[in-house]
Parts: sequence; structure tokens; C-alpha cells
Amino acid sequence: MTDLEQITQRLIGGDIPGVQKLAKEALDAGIPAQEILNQGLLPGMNVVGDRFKQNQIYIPEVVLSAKAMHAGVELLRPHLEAGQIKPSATVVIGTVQGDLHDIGKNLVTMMLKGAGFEVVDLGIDVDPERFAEEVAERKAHILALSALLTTSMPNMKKTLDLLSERGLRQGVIAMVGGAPVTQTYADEIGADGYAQNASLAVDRARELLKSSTSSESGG
Amino acid sequence: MLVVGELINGSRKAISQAITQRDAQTIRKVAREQYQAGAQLLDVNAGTSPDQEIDDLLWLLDVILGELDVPLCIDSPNVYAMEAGLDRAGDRAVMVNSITAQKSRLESFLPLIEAHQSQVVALCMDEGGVPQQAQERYEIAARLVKKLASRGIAPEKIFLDPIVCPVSVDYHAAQVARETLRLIKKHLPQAKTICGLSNISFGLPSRRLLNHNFLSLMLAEGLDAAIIDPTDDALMANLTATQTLMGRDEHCLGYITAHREGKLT
Ligand code: B12
Repeated sequence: MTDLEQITQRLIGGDIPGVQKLAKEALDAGIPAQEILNQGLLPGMNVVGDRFKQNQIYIPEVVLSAKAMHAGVELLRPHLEAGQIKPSATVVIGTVQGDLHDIGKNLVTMMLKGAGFEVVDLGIDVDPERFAEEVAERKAHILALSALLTTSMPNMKKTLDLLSERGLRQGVIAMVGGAPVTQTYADEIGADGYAQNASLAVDRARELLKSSTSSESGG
Repeated sequence: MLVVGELINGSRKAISQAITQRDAQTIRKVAREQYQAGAQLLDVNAGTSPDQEIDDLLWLLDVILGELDVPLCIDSPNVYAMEAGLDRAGDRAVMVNSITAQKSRLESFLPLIEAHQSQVVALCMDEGGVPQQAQERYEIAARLVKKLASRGIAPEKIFLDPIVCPVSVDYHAAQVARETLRLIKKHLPQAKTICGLSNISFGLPSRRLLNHNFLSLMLAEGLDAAIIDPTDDALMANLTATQTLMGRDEHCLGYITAHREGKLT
């Protein structure tokens, strides 16, 4: 097993100190940070996502792996920036106004971070104004909205409408989710994507980013 | 301990289907089964979209009121649905589920609770969400009790919910709920306590095992009521056994009777 495969295995096992130690050793051995990330850490998170989808592993295990991922990325970060590598896509996420549920949103955040996204978590009860400001300020690629209450779901639409009003809607991919949210509802309010759980949210985010960049380069 | 039957809830597939198809038979059956299994109160939650909720809730209430003489706990975050529900069910609606310390929500629900003199489930959370620490949750509980007292609602009518989050997400969650309960029991002894169970086990295998043990732990802290599935025989047997072990079952007669009725296996 190569060093990088070992990092992958430690990550899957949720071994935080192990990942840190091996990542540091790899850096010291002169392996480029980007390579450690792409061939060591990220494949591990993909395995974790797949196993979670197939009910082979449970939430605490995903949480540990995501933490290990985060610890690894933090270690690599200074070296990644020194190498002038383009930062991964930025996601602004939050639970919409009037809604204080955050367990699901936190899991989505963790999985997105694990998959290498830069995630700005605005927390709970976030009003449309705040979402719009942060999307503009952070130059977010993706806006992810969570709602668990049927009474707060209309605030997803309000948020997207405000983005349109401000001329920000075109520039950002809008994803929605939460137990009462459906693909039908996402279509209805003109969101770009919906996902049923945290690991599907990562898949969907990647797909949407891919199609948006390919349509950009396609003119 | 007060058993509130949780099964009539629109976020459950069978129920939401029955609601959309106006299938009264299914609702009657679920109501009756819970009642026969030992529920002293039935929770009623339409759980549908806001524009539908009032109609759906009233339909549910009519069906249940026509079938059984059991008190009801009306469960909705929507103050208009709550008002309509309380009016429709009259004396039979004994509990409002629920309020939080969120200002706007609390202010809108208070007049209803006052007018109907109902019992109320009060969640230990406010604008900031659910505090991580038991002490902060308890402080919210104390604030709620005080606020309700200022509107003439006696502490005996308040069922404080310490809030149960999944242990899969935070492995201290059960412990924090217990600690909150302990603080409430110590400093607000007149107020009642309530909680749901199943959330504790979200995201983990063999959920019933966790739910059952959690119920015992909470009972040991003095939990007064639980929103549970009364048709879960093992859970109800567990409840009986725990009460016996806690000295709440004189001469163990409740336990023996449950055995004779075949309820312990
Ligand atoms: C835990 C919980 C709470 C906790 C929240 C603790 C916390 N820190 O979040 C507490 C006790 C505080 C709470 C409070 C309330 N709750 Co609550 N709660 C729940 C419960 C039991 C579980 C929710 C949960 O965390 N699930 C686990 C997570 C992991 O799942 P999830 O959130 O669905 O997230 C997953 C996916 O949806 C998706 N996802 C989530 N967000 C996003 C975002 C994007 C962009 C994407 C792509 C995907 C995605 O990925 C996640 C991970 O896989 C649900 C019941 C249920 N079955 O859903 C009720 C429920 C949501 N609550 C409900 C209600 C009504 C309330 C209250 C209003 C109480 C009341 N009855 O008065 C208050 C609301 C306060 C407020 N203003 O928000 C109702 C909503 C009904 C309705 N029609 O709207 C439910 C359905 C319960 C019920 N049947 O009555 N609640």
C-alpha cells in the first residue's frame, strides 16, 4: 500500500490523528499537497459517502471521517495556497428564516466540507437578506438552503426571489433540501437542485457545478 | 406516567395518505389501537402544507372525536391551525403541542392557551435554537414557566420538553436531556415534563433498543409524560417494569396485572 492509500484507509476509519500524522509525513517526503488531497483524502471521503448511502456505515462514523478529512485539509491548506491552486467551490449554506432545525443542515455541511468544498455556514433562522449579502460577498458558487418546516419552506422561495431581484440569481447554483422538501417543490420555486440526503447532496453539487462550468466554457 | 400516542402524524406516510384520500377508516383504526394499547392522550398532527393544514386537521379531529372519547393533544406550529383545532375539539382538546420561547411564536400562542385553559408542551429552545448545555435549556424552561404564570397558567399545566437530539450526531445528547430534566425537577418541581423518544436513536441501527433504554433513564429522572408509540408492546412492557422498579407500582400489582393480561411478553 502506498502512503496515500494508507491515508485513504485512515480517513475511512475516522482516525483523525492517523490522518494528520500520515499527511504530515507525506508532505515532509515532498509529495505535493494537491496530490495528497486528490489521491489520499478525497477518495476516502467518496468511499465514506458511498457506504453511508448503502447503509453500511452510520452517522457517527461519517462524522468522524468528515472530521479527519477536515483535519487533513487544514494541515495541507498552507501548502495548497503556496502552490497557488484554485480554491474549490464555495458553498453558502443555512437554515431558512423561521426555522431552527440544524441537524440535517450540519450533516450536509460536514459532507460538503469532506468533499473538499469551502463551506460558509450561516446557521439557523437566516433571513433572505443575509443569504443575498453573503452570496454576493463570498462570490458563492452554490447556495444551499435547508428547511424542515412546511411553514418555513416559503422562505426558500423568498430567498431565491430576492436573489433574482438583486441580479444575483444567475450567478449562483441554488440547492434546496430538508425532510418536507421535494424535487417537485424545488422545480416549483426554480431551484437548480435538490437532494434527499447529505451524501446525495454532495453528488448533486458536483453534477451541478460540472454542468455549469461546461455550459460556461461552451459559451 | 402519561402516555401520549404519537401515531396520528402527517409526517408518517400511512397517515398522510389517509389524510389526502380522506380515508377515515385508517384514522379510526390507528386511534383505537393506540387507545386500547394504553394511550391516555392522542397527539394529532396533520403535518401538511400551511394552506391545507387547517382543513386536514379539522377533518382528523372530526374523525377521532366521532370514534373515541379520548382527550387530544393538538400538534401544530401554525397558530391558525391551533386555534381552529382548539375550537373544534372544545373540552376534548386538553393539550397544545407546542410552544417555544421564540418571542413571536410565544406571543401568538399565549392568548389561545389562556382562553382554552389547556395544558401546553413547552420546548426548551428560543430564537437561538437549542442550547447545547443543560443549564441554558433549564434557564429557558424557567423563563417559559414565568411567562406563562404571568398569563395565569399554572405550572402544573406546563409540560416542559428538555429536547431530545440524536446521539448519533452528538453522543452527549441523551445525557444533556437527562441533566436538563434533573435541573427542571429540582428548581421547578411543580411543572411537568414530557419528551419524545424516537429522535434519540436517529441514524443508528436497532433503534428500539436505544429508545427503550432511554425511556427508562428518563423515567428515573422523573419524566411525567412521553410521546411514544403505545402499540410497541415491548416499549410498554419496559415502561411497566421501570415503573415497578422505581417504586411507583404499589406491591407490584401493576406489573402482575400486566403479566396476567399477557402484556409483558
Ligand atoms: C429533531 C427535530 C426537532 C429538534 C431540532 C433540533 C435541531 N438542533 O435541529 C427540535 C426539538 C428543537 C424541534 C423543534 C421543532 N420542530 Co421539529 N423535528 C425534529 C425531527 C424529529 C427530526 C429532524 C432531524 O433532525 N432529522 C434528522 C436529519 C439528519 O434529517 P433532515 O433534517 O431531513 O436532513 C437530511 C435531508 O433532509 C437532507 N437535507 C437537509 N437539509 C438540506 C439542505 C440541502 C441544500 C440539501 C441538498 C439536503 C438537505 O440531508 C440531511 C442529511 O441526510 C423532525 C421529524 C422528522 N421525521 O423529520 C421534526 C419536525 C421537522 N419538527 C416539526 C415541528 C412542528 C417542530 C416545532 C415547530 C415543534 C412544534 N410541534 O411546535 C419546533 C420548531 C422550532 C423551529 N422554529 O424550527 C415537524 C414539522 C411539521 C411540519 N409540517 O412542518 C416535524 C416533521 C415533526 C412532526 N411530525 O411534527 N424539532
